Amino acid sequence: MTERSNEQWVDDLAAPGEAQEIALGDLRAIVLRGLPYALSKWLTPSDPEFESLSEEVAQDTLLRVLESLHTFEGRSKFTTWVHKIAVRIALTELRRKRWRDVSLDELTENAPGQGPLGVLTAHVAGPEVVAEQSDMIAHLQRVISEKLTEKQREALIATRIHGMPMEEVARRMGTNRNALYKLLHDARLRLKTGLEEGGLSPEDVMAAFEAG
Amino acid sequence: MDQSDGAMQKLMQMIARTQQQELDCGEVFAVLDLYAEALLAGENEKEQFALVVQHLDLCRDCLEEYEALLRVLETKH
Repeated sequence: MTERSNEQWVDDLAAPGEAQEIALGDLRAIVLRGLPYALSKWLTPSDPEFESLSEEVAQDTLLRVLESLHTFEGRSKFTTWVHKIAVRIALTELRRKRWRDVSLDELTENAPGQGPLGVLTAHVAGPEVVAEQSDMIAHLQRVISEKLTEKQREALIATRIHGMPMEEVARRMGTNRNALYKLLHDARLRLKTGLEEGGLSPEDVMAAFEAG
Repeated sequence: MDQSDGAMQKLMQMIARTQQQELDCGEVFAVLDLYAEALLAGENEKEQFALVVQHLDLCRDCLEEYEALLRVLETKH
């Protein structure tokens, strides 16, 4: 395989022709060699899912690279930039497959008798809860139900309690990952302010519950 | 510690780390290759990329992608 500088990669890929065909072939091989490492936390190359996923990811990565070639600024190695794109595509696809059968509704339904985000504060019921803790929980529950929107509560439960990936929550909520991050960021800021208004900091709450 | 205890602590940790200004996932993705290369080159990446570090601390999806990219780059192939 030819060693290429960033400029050579971009030049070779820029226009259809023989040079582009060769560069795409080389790039495909580079992506395919990286994927076992990228996916090692989830899949081994011997997994039946691995080969078809890799092929799909390599194909989609090459398309994405050609589409966004003009956005490559040359601040990193070209192949690092390509691996970054491949990783995003691979994990997005893996998450989509893993969470395919899970609906947001079933994740975020309140357990009977619990208010919004009840699962977060569920251990209020224990007889050992001291007054200080129970005041904190009451305040936190008020903040959660009064300061957060329904969408924010839903997104928090799905991402934080159930560990549903951002992309998956976003798709089900008819939004995108960036907008969802902003929604959750705003929710965290509201919770922080809400705690402060009650004279509490997150550190106070953690300390009270660690001790208990 | 049961699930709700853990969830409560995690929620508090998350609130404690929350900043007024944060990068979103797209802004982090835009520089993830630079950050990974800086880390591997042993540069002072934590200071230079403070907002990226903060985002990775709060966003599991971006952290997974960053760690996957590092695994690829760390392997000489």
